[in-house]
Amino acid sequence: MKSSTYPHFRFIFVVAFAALLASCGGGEATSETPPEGTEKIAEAAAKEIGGELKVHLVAQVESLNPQIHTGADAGHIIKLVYQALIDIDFETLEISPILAEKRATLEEQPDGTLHITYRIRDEATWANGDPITADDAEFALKISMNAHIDNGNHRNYYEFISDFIKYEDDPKKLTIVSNQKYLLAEAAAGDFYFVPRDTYDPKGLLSEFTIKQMQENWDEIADDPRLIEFGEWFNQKRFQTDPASMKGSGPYEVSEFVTGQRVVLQRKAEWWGDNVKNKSHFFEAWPQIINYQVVKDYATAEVALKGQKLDLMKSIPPDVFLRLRESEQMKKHYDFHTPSMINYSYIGLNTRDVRLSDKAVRHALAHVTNVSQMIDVVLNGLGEQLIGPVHPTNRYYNKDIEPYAYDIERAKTLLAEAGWADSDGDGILDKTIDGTLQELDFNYIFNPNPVREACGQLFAAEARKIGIKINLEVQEFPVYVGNLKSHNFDLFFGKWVQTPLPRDHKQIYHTESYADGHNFVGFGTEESDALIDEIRGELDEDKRGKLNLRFQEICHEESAYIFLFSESNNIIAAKKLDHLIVSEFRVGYWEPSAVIGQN
Amino acid sequence: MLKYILKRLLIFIPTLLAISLLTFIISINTSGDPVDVLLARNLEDQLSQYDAKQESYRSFRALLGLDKPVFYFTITTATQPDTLHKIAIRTHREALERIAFEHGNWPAVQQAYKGLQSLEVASYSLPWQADTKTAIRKLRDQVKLGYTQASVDDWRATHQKITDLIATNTELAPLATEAATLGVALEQLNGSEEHWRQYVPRLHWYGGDNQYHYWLFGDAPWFGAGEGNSKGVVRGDFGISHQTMQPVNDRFTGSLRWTVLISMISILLAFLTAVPLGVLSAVKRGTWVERFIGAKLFVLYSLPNFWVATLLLIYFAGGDHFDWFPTYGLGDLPDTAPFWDRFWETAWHLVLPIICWTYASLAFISRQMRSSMDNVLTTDFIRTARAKGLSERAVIGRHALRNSLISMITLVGIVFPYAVAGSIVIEHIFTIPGMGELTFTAYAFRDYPVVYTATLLVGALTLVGNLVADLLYAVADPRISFTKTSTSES
Repeated sequence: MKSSTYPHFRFIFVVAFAALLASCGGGEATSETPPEGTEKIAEAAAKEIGGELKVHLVAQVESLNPQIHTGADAGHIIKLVYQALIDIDFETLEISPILAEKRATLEEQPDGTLHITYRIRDEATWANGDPITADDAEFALKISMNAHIDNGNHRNYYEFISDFIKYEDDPKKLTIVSNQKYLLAEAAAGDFYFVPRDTYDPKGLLSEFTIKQMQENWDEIADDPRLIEFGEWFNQKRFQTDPASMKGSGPYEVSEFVTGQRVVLQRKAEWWGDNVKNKSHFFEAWPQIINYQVVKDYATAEVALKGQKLDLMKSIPPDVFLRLRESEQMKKHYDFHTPSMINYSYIGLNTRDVRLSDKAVRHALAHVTNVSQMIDVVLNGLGEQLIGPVHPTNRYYNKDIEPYAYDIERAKTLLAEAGWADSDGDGILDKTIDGTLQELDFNYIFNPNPVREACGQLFAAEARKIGIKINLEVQEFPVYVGNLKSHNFDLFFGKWVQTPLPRDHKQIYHTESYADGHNFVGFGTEESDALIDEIRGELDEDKRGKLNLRFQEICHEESAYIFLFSESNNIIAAKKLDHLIVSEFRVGYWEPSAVIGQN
Repeated sequence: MLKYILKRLLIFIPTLLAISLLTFIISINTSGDPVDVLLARNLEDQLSQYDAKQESYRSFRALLGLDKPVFYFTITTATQPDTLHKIAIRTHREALERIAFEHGNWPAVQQAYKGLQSLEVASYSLPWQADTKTAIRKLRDQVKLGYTQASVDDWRATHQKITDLIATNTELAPLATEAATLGVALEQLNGSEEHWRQYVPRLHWYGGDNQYHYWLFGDAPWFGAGEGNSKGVVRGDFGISHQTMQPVNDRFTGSLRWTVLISMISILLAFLTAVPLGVLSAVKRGTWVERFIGAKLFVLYSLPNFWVATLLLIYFAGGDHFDWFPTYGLGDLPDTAPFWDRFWETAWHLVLPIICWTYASLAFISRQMRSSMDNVLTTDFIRTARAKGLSERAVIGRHALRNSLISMITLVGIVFPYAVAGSIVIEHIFTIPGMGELTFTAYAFRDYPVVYTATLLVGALTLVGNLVADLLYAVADPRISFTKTSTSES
């Protein structure tokens, strides 16, 4: 009897043990076969400099398909596995050729089109030794233009491409024809990722189609079974997470992809880039293994850093970063970097609201925004005040514009001059407009984020001093985005992340983007619209720069946005990482350049 | 018994359908558009460069099947048409819905809406040149604004601005006809209001081509080969995750594995520890032992798990103190590593999460056990056993424990859903890709196929848990029977 007292427990124990065994038996990990040469590399890694670099990721990477992925981290890892003709150098912030020999040659044509010509490097080859040619470029573009790919019809982003020209006498040369003069044509026509045709289209399903045909006659060919079959083939999970199927021409290959836990990249033993002379940073790939480790909680990541279980971490919340920077133990093993990220945070004012259409109210709000206090208190000093949408790293940042001074009295005067007074004695300024009493009582929406909330609290406290009431309203991200799109707000906290490429302001600042673009606040004057249009079509950098200077003046004068600051990217890197490039460009570093030494 | 089980299993079907329906109704009435969220993940202005956002929105909407009617039917007022779901942009759809409601005469409203569309379409046939594009853009801006306006008066104001634009810009002159048509349509809105329709209900029947039907039954043929993207939930295909574009089944397979494993071990440990503690508390009732155990368990139960998890990490996972346990994850060994190496590494990684997962349920189970044991110890048969001269050990172990465990069966019903629901906090802190984190993230991203599946799974397992508990009662207590007898016991 005694022995049968806990039969159920024994059973549960056996089942639990079996479950643990089963859980260790593979499943989610998709590394069915180790990539070729893995053992050889592992042996080499033990002898040579290189070693393993452990990089923190705060969210899991869902897909490493260069055409089907979301999120900045996935986009960054993809750069190490796949390559494009050009990309932005993390150190110089300029366009740098990768597969291309040099930057594009741009030729304006009499018919108004623009010819963007590249030549692919002679050294560039696939892993099997086959040269990378214009055919590969054409194939990569055709993938983008196939609307059956699960990427939300990315083909729309290439609408400007009207044709693709190959040259019989030089299989490495190609010309992309843009149907318009456009400032980003060079960058956009060179930033698509190459993939080997034999892996990604073994049946040659796309070979019968041309770029021109896919652009001009898409509606007619959309139902072609070959295009549909290719879409289904390419959308497979294997091309998103299976190391055996994800092939690119970059220095690394994926050796492990374990959803929610890690992505491991292994340096190729033989890579074409090693033979390139006059190398840019894109041809440096020192770590033998780059192990991206997902740690979702910053407190956990902090413990991991203290235990030296991570080598590189970015976007660290200011409070955590400062605490770690003060730690003697951390100082011994880590370096601390705070590059100014190319982004800007702002408070958006709904200018189509009858109260906020009054420029005096907008200017008054700008004068009560104590940006220095926000940077000191909320960001713990880890930020930089801005005056407009152009980042200070850009040479056409308008240094002549002074930010609105924090000046309560000036704000009061502006409102009084515009006729705003507290007529009903409720402590809130009001004014009768078109027969209706309008009170300066605004809602301020933001999605859950401590920085946004704290800035809102400071802003509201200051505004109260001049008789403006601001009600903070935290909204779940989907609700927040929905309200922005439908302009259902008075004020909101927003942030835009940018790249170092020339700025095309249309989507955010053009009046045409009010109804269904990202001009949520209704910014825009005739002059600003004309400037935006002119900037878009201007290929001369200096001329474009001057237009940008004026554009920033208008943004400042209109005050549809109260520009706040650019948050620094708080990065902690192990001291053993020599030559790590820390950058203003997201994600904030180019880790393949790091040489791993002794700590 | 078999008849009873079959009956209960049959009840599962309508119950699960009701759960799915309820979840579905809640989801469509929740603020937030899944497509917006999907596109907003790439809210970098660089990606906005080719004015392609709108087209992407439409494509994603079709890809996710959101362009279909929501359900088999809708019940609205007689002001609403049955084709509103075809308008892709949510803001446009909602604005038109409001105008239709306010005005009441849908054909007249539709005519004006078509007038706006005709203007936009016609504007694309104008020559796009340096001297014309500014005027054309201004006109399109007005038309697009018109789509989002929610009153007839706003439409009229827009029309006035369009007319002024055409009058002052000769390059827009070819659009005068379309503008006039729009003007006529707007005129016809005057006096054609049918407000009574606001009070008349109308049922629109959409048939099987709707989102719910597609989710439930898919579009693949039931027999033989044929085209179709989904087999539907009833055939085990839970659809495609909006967030990752990967099959929901794949996402659940990975997450369930870890959640079930950790939950099972945690439940096992909780029972193994709590039952003896509960027994001890009951047996030592009124002594310092009972008070000691009670106080400790109460304290343990009160500690929030995120705090305990963080403390455990700081003290035992290589922070400022002891580096005894791994800090996060489930181990770094690849699948090619020897099996037992991976086994021990995974086990080592699970120690801290399992402690956190277990300690809170300890107190609960222990109190249940103590109370049950208390009741049993005061029953006649225990007194009889003691009177027979059995040792206290035999009385407790052989008679009281077995009978008091019957009440613990109730907890079995809870264990099933608990085993798959996961813990958001613990999974987040220890970076375990489990069900809690998956479901929470899915909800945040309005990834409804994943949310539906998680709800259905937990619902189904609650039903199974209750059934198993009922059956176990019958096994453990012969007085309980699910078979109807013709004679009643006295």
